[in-house]
Amino acid sequence: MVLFGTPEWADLYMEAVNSNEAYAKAADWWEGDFIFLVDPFGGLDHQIRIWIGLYHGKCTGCQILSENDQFKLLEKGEEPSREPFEVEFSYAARMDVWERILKNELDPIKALLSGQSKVTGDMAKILRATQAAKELVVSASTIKTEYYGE
Amino acid sequence: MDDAQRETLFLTFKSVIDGIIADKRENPKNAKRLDSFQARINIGLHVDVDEIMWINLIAKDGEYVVERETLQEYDLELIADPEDLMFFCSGQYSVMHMMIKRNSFGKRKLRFKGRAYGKLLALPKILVLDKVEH
Repeated sequence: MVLFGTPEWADLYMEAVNSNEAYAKAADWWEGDFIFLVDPFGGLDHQIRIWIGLYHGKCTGCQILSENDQFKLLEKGEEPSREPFEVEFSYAARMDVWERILKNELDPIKALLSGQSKVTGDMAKILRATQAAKELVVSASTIKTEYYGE
Repeated sequence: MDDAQRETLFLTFKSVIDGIIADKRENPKNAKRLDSFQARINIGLHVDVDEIMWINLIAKDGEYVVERETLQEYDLELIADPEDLMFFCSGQYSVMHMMIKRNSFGKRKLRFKGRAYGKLLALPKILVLDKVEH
């Protein structure tokens, strides 16, 4: 078991995404990195920020941001300046919601449309990639994960 | 659904509709249709068995504004599960699918009230993303 939101988990997540053929197919056109924001709840007393590099169906990197790391949300059409952690999208939810999503108990789109999570970025692009979003979650569910408070 | 979740859902749907209009604006072929479509639409988001969250969309002179609550005077009233409505907007669910199939609450996926059938029929051209070849 690996604790969620640790560098070890991030490494396993990158491997899991890159082993997921359904994700590779659904996202073969996708370009756009994400920040996953995990807000404190239950046994988690701080926010976890996870950067995920995504390019044409592959995960190019996954990293847990430290307290000193800053990320930048790019505007639609804004060119990245090659600084680290410039992303097109963020997906934010409380720890308990993330846990249900990652355990495949709650669909990430359902979470969004029940007000339990929020996404920032070009919505039109996200609407065209709902299957890819689901496959990102399927990838996470393959990791034997320990959550906070378990 | 608590107040914070309602607010998040409103902002999500507002960004969905704003995002679709912005995306369609990128194709010059859509300009005339987007500029000429005029409508006042109440949209009921069926979030729970007995809970509908109302938002509204006013399309006028090429501007599309999404606000909270209902409009007293409206052309159309639509009710749908937010997830079904999003899949309709993304092009995954057709109008026929929305009219015939039932949602998770046992209701038709898209229910509507109002006699502005022309506006109803025009909706897929306004609120559904253009298909893109990747």
